[in-house]
Amino acid sequence: MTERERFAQIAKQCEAALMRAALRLCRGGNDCAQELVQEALVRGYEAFRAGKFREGFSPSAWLTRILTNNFINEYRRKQKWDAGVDVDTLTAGGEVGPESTRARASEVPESALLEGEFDEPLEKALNALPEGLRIVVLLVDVEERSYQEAAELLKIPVGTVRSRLSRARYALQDMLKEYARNRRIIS
Amino acid sequence: MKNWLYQWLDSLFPHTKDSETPCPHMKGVLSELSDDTASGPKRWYAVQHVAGCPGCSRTLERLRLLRQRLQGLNREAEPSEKEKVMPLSPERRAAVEAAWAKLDETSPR
Repeated sequence: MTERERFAQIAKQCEAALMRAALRLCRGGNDCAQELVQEALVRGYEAFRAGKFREGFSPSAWLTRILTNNFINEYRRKQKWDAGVDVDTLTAGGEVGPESTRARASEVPESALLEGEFDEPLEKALNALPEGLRIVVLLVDVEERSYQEAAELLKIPVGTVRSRLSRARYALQDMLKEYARNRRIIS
Repeated sequence: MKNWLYQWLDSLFPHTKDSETPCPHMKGVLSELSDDTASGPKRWYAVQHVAGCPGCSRTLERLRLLRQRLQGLNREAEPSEKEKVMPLSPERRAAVEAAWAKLDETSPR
């Protein structure tokens, strides 16, 4: 089996996981997600040929890291990072920022698609977080990267990662509690 | 019995009486306890505080559950029917294969 055939096999196994991760990063935007996966598979093959994939790595976790890194670099390149809202001054003590600072469902690209793809309260709550908080949760909690690694990738201090993470987690808890209340899961 | 240092430190902060709400000074450190990144004296104080504070203890439990659920989003297990996502489009797939072929041509092994 050639190197390319081996990588094609890995890519096939990981495609669904990559698409899920990409849709999460793109807040459900299918075009954006398709582009991210395409780019990750090309960059992944480049890295694979360079011997950067080692035995014992989880192929899916490895390719997801490449995908997320590309997303962050591309986002930064487009200078959209934290645009409009300063997430570090917006909220205090773990509360979610004022309603006026959060994106409405209609403003989130293809949010209807996301609702169809991920009918999960946690996914919806994640989607409702401001971008600067959301990306830190995706890196540290979902992808299980260290604070240091997240800080380096986002080019922000470790203390900022720590405080954003705390605010994001409390905001997620509040949203999930609200969801449970609305569904009358809790009183 | 808790030692004097802990009791003195704990007396410096206002506490919540609510068993659902964490004490205001504990919010950040509870987040760090939930992912095991708290260390040193901060961790020592927090662990003792949580042991005797229902609001902080409940919050920590919830934060840990939240983290578990978030980690679960990255799982590799087969997704349920509801979670199945659209595969890469034929055009994108063709572009990926063309890029792989180009890589093989430009830098053969």
